[in-house]
Amino acid sequence: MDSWRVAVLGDGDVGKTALAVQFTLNCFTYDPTIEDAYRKQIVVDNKMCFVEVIDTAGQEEYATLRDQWVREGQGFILVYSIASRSTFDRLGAFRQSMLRVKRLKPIFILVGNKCDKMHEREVSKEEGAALATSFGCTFVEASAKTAHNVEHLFTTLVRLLRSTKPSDAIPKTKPSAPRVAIEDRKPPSCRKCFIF
Amino acid sequence: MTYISTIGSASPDLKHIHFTAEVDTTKAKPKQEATAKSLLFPELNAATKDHIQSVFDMADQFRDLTANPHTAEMRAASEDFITFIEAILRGCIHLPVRMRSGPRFDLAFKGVVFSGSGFLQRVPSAESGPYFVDEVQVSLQWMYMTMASLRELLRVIQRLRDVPKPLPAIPPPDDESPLVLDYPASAIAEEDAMFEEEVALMLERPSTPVDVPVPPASPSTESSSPAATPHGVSFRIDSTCLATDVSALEASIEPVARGIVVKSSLKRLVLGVTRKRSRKALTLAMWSNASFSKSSTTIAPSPCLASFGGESPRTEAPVPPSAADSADPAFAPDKDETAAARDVYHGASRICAASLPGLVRLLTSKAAVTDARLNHLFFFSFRFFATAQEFVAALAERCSEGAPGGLAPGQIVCWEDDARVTKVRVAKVLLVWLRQYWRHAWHAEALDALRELVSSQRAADPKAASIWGQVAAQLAAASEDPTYRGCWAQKLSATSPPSPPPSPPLKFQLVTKDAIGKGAFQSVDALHFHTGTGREELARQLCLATSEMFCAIDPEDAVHFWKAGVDAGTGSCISRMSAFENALAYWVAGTIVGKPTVRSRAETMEFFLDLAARVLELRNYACACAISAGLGLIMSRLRETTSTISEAHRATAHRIETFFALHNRKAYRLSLAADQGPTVPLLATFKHDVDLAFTMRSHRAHPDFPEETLIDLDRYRVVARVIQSMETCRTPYRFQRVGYVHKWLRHVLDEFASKSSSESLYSLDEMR
Repeated sequence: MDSWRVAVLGDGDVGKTALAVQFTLNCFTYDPTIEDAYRKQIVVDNKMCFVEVIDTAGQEEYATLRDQWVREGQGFILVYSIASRSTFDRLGAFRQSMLRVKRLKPIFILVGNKCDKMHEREVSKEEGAALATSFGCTFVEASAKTAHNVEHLFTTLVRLLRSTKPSDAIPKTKPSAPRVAIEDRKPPSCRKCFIF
Repeated sequence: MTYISTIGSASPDLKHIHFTAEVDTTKAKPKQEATAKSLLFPELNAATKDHIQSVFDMADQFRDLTANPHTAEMRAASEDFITFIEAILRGCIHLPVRMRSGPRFDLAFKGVVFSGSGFLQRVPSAESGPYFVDEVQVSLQWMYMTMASLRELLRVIQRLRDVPKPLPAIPPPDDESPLVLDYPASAIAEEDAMFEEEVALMLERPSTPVDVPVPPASPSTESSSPAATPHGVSFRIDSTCLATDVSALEASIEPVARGIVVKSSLKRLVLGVTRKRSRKALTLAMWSNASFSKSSTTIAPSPCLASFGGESPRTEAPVPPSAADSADPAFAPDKDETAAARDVYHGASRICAASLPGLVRLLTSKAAVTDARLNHLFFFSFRFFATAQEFVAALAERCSEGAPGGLAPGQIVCWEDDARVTKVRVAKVLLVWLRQYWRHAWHAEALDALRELVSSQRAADPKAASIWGQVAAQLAAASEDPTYRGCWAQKLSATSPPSPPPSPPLKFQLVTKDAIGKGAFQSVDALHFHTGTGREELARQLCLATSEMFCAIDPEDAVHFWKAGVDAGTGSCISRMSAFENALAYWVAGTIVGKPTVRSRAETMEFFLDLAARVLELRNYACACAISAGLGLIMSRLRETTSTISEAHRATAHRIETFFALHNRKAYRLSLAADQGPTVPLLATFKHDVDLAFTMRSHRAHPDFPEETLIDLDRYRVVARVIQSMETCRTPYRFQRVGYVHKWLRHVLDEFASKSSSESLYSLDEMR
């Protein structure tokens, strides 16, 4: 059984907690002193797996912590609200953090949340899809309120994670090493053999 | 000197729970002298007298411990206390059978068992949690109740000893005939009179001793009724002491104190009867307990008291089969419980959901101990699901509840007694609201309704005028001052463990102090603080700076800001603090990256790791997390430098990062709840909890009554916990403020605070 740690990133008030709560509905009792409060067991392609959700809600103002979130997560859900243009515009910073910290290409899904608020829509579905294409990721519009596409986006992310990391478990320490280390910028010739 | 007065004089600190505290033996009346001598049973006194003395000593010791509570000492004292109680109760086996077989003794004995068990279960087991102070107070209240129960037992022994002839034989059981019919109407009336006298004593607290006559039994019932008592025998109650007892207990645990004084309530407590019965019916059941072979309830004593089960005269409280197995028409239906079944949904260990009337019913329940957690939960959160006017209306409705139909005249009298107690509880709830939780800005809309309620209740029940008068006075104080706020925070800080005294300034002089004074901040380097005292001083000044910012944030306002985002003042305080933390993180990262060599970068990194560890020790979680975040930014970029630092520092970095790991902040939360005192918590965690709370459902259906929609209390429990936790942390550090360090810190942090996060990260990447 594989385990995946998924971080939900995005601006404030886009519905990150709502997505996490909706996904873990019926198996969720909030008690911060209990581990795995956000853990859920699901079946994807006839294979059981655990998904642990890292909810970054409340930390939006702490930009310095973004690297830590990315270090802790294996897969990412990049969330914006279709009813708020500003949340859509600020997604670039989160993608930059992912690209900076992750050595390999980060696995993430772009999610336009609150799709039940059609009459308040500020970001069109086409814009979301275009941004996802430029990011090189999958795009889904979902609604945590109505549970529309919530299960789907997590199963899609698990499939993506499995396709890139066939068998993985939640590491005990840091999930990945830094992608770019300033002090490692040495010419490739340094890694060749020595000539005496 | 009576046996009990000996105890009283030996322990002057506990006068408020003594029966007769001051008795002059030289002026003792012959009757009292005879009583005193007659109480000196060789069997009881030989071993038990010392035990009783020890119990009072232990009670004094336990009470002293609660002033500066330490769990281990309290547990030890409570174990000793219960051991002596156990020994006293064991000593009762040597009393004459005629005394032990009476229902009064049985009742008093079980009262001690019950309260002792409750006390032992409520002694805090760990010095942790935001409710630790409340738990200590509750355990103290249970200790008082145990002492009062013990006093009651001794008083019963004394009273039974005064009876010059044995109790009459108990009639054989007669399950076919209702109990009420077996008990003569005259005896019921006399019992009622005595009960009324006791209630009057409790409420009015007369200052002069009163003689309460034991009702003489009528000739026709003397031989047949088990309740028959000798003619003309009276026992003397020192009402001053009784009033003192009630006053002292009422202040802390009023409903339990009432339960001790009012027999019916004590019987309910002792029996553990969850289904409320009328007072007279219970009285009859107790009088006739020997006639029933079937018992419905059994006291479950604590492990320490469990051994009593077999040795006490009767550890099980027999209840008439008709009362235990089916609804007895003689018992008045309890409106509290029938209504509560629909209005309140109890989970396995907590109340999950309730309607507003159900919550009011819980708050004003006459059969329960005042629950500080329920008070916190309700008063911190009711504004989110009801207005103050609706709350007052619910209280008024509670006061004006009418008697259920179809009650017998005797039952109506019982119901009126209970209704009066309920109204007193309503007054108590109002007093708690006004004293501790009232906010004029939020609750002023209910002032008129409150005034009307208080004036009407004050006029309706002259016996309870005192408590309603207190409510009126508090209401007047609250309504006069628009800035009035309840004093819960002050109360909490008053009961918190004392903070250490302000420390003297460290013998640390920054070599460039003059430079700072002249404004040459660039000449001061962070590594100038890289000494033992330097790191300590910098950590302390960081604590002072962040603590000042945190203490400026009102917890309730913060929750409302996070929920609605409307309070600009609170919002600016919160933003200021988060900006400070971000700037601190970027400053840490920028300072390390700005060093020219790997060795100097490693040294700076080690300095900040030491600084983070120190501020973590000082419970400044905000700064520790910020420094850790800044180091995290660097350690992911400077791998060679990171590999240069010592193993100990690498372990420190890992420990701090794990402590603040976002996916599991269990360690942080446990640490936050572990101790009280100056603390700077992570605001982000509180905001997350509030976000989560208001993502939860606000209402839910009652599982047993799907048509009932109840308020989901789990949501508001999180909110109340956040407010209480924030309030607990709002204790300022008591360090000496060093002005020039603050001046320097302000300068270096302003440079990073003025940049956006992407600018800071960009500049960080471009520095090398």
